[in-house]
Amino acid sequence: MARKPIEYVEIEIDGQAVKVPANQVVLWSARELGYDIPHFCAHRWLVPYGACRMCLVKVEAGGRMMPKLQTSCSLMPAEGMKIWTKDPEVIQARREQLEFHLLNHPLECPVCDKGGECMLQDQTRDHGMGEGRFREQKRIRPDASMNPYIRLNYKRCIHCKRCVNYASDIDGSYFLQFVDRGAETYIESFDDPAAAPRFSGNVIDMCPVGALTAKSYRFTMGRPWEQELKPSIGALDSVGANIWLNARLGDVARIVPRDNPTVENGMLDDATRFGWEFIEDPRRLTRALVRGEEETRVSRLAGETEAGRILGRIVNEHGPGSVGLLAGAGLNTEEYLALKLFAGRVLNTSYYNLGDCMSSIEVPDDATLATVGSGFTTIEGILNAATVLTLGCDLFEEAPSLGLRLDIAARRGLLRLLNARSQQSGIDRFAELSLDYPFGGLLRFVRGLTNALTGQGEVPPEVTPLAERLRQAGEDCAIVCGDEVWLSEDPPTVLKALAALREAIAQASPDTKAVYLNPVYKSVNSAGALLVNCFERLTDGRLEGVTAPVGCLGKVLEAAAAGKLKALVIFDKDVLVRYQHRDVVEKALKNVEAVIYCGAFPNATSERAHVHLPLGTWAHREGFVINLEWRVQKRLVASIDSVAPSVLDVVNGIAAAMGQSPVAADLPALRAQLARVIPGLPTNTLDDLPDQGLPFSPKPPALDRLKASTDLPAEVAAPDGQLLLTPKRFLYNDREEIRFSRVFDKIPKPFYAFLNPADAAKLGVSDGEWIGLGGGHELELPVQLAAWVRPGSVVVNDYYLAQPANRLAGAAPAAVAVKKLAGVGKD
Amino acid sequence: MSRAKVGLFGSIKALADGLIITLKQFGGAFGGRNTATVQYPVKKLKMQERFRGLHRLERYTEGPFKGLEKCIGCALCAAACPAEVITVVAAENTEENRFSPGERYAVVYDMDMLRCIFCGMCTEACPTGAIVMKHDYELADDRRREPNKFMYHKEDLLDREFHW
Repeated sequence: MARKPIEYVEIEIDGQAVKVPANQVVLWSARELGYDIPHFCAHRWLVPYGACRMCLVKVEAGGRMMPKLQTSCSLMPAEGMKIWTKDPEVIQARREQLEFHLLNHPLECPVCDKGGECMLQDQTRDHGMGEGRFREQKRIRPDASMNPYIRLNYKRCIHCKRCVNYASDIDGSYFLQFVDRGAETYIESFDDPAAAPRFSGNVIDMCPVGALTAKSYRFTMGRPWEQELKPSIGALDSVGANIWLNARLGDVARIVPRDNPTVENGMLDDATRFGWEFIEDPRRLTRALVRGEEETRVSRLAGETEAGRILGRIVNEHGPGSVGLLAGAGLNTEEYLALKLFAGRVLNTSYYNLGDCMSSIEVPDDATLATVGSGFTTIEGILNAATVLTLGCDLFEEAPSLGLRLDIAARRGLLRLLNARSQQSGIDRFAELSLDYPFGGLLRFVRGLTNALTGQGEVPPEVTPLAERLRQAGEDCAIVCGDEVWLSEDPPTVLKALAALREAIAQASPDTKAVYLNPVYKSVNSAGALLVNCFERLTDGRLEGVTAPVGCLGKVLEAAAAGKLKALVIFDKDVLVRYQHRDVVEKALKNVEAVIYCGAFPNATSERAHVHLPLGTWAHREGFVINLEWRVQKRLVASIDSVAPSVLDVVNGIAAAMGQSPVAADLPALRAQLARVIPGLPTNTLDDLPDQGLPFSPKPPALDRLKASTDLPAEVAAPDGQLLLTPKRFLYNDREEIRFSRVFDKIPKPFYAFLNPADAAKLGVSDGEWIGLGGGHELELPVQLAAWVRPGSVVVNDYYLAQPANRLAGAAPAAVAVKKLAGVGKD
Repeated sequence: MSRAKVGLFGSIKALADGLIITLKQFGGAFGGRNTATVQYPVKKLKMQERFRGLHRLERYTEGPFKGLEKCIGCALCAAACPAEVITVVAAENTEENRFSPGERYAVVYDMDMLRCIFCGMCTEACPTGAIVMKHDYELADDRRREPNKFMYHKEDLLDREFHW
């Protein structure tokens, strides 16, 4: 809402006149100013609750002393108010209140995991009595498991209700509840074994005592003060949650949020928080794999020599442009530059594609780059917008922290949330309007909406209610689009349609000053990959000896399938499962002479490679990561014993084996080169980059006016007896962070065919029965009935190695035959 | 004091006094009375109670926890240690496999005695009195690498037999 400017009022704290924001309770204002007011139940995410009575202050308001002490966590300041935080009466009240908190709290700090980072411990030291007078039996209740990640040490609980309030007001899953009353109150989890927890781990941080503890950290991972912390970036979404990677004795111990209020605000999803075991997993490739007559494990050097020998021969025999290079979006920005240099100078090819979002054939044109490279806003900007329109994305799955923050803002009425995508999603619950359309109909929907706003062209009836609301979009409006753009046949076309929609909203809504478009990218560094891939047009930078890519992922794969490319070099991208056209990839992998794969873990694509070279996980490689708001963030190597090569090490090794000079001497040199190539990059060293990152603005080509098409594509519908196959991105899928972390083994992962109950009834299947999708039963999956599925479609996980969705669906949208399978999977 | 005032006799007396002490002590070395020399290693001194020698991890010898380890794996000794001698890795007790009274016990308790300065901070920090310093001081060995005597593991420190 482009929030109203903050009004300040003058109050007096401990005899000192201060100005504090009028819309903030005294507790936070006073703490920001350095007055130490202890508190337990108050939390910056939560609304005031006033349970713990630790934040009592003496107040004089309107010239009269308030008769009793007031809780500052629920006290709004008023002009001329006087507050005392160190009055003897206040100090006495705190001491006595704290004694009550400690009545049933066991004095087992040496055993407790929270010891060292415990609010109760700190406050007892600062404000406590020093000695307890309670000699009676303390309350005892056995420990309990709250969900697969969290264990409750019941006896330590002080009933501050933070976690319960979080589960109801923030998370909205209500997974924790108070049961019983008085001193016998205890926390019970309404744990649904079929539901995978998504934001539950945050209660571990919120708990002011050691009651809620992480099972994976419990006791075995050392004490908080023994941890070695390294700033890093969560790898699961393009928000790039800021995390501390804790390590002890050379092993990763846990992940805790770094509390960057502008990025993720400390709200980590469980997959990011608990997904670290893969870093040290023994299945990670530490030596190279060479597949000749038989599979042999050789040293990394020998593997690189073999790769260099193969590539050298192919480049010599077939000349320039005979090798294709693909890279996923899990790499760091400077590593993309290394790959670009490697492709241009060593492999001498312009068939390369970095990143995973633009899976189209042609390189994104100027209009597309202008759409993604300008007109975006920050995450704060999205949250402060008057109206937020999410299009084609399920933010709870694709960018959980952003989704949760939007959800909270919508619940508190701070913004109007409008959703449109192919299925219902969790974020709909507080939205003003939620529409759905058949999967693959995003382009039709966006153009129809644009037409409705501009009054030109055909208008499908379903967009009208949304268009009406967008005509009063308020002061500013943010469009957030997501996975359905990247899954569409031609992402640039959809992006341009979205740009046209942006202009249409700006014109149709008279009091709207700004309309932003923020795509939620597929991976953590998709923006960095796009930046390096197309830096010739996204920045003013130039690089000698490297040509721009001739095409996108589709172009490279098609050239390989057509036999034009003789070898494929793939960095950390499971292209066989993740590219929509599996047949093209199959053909490409078959038709090239050699496939060199470089990645930390085996996957479907690496199984087909002739040489599989090891690569570090993101915890082993340092560098810049650029998130969806184009914020340059830094990721450092964890303090762990295992070492693994970076992309630069690998390409230098291959280049050396080919008799070529290295693409860069080392990572700092590469970073310096990156800053030269991309003018405007805020820094050229990791040391200069502050932990919270710095914003960056690409300079995309300027465009006069977008010539948007108003033609509506045909409506997507499945023929009778068939269902529309809808691959959907889920938080829990088969990516290596989740597949190779044992903690997720207990999580029910969404590897199902989700069916609307109406469709299931028609097919005569029920929960847990198996169905075959496609004419030849290309996919066989157990059914889960879900009311959120749009009738007429079947939703499957888009990354499931055992049953990859792209076995069907040459191109989305695809209608598939569905048949109940008898006697399959009844184990 | 000038030499003239002492005189010749005084000088000789002073010399003789010193020599007598020397001779007394010399005799004592062979088992006479008044000896200050201890025939180490044949004979060993009894150390004062407060002497800070090699550490030992204690067990409860009485009460409900009799036989259990006093150490709860809290790692406060490691935190207090100025020389980074101690490494503790904790684990959780189970009903079948109980090592210490509470939930936590030390599964690894290593002391690198090459680093230890015998300051006694670990014993001060210990909330359960699990680590104490006893009177052993013969800690030398002729190997730096393991197996040596310098790296003391939990099983070396627990139930340790003392020489005196």
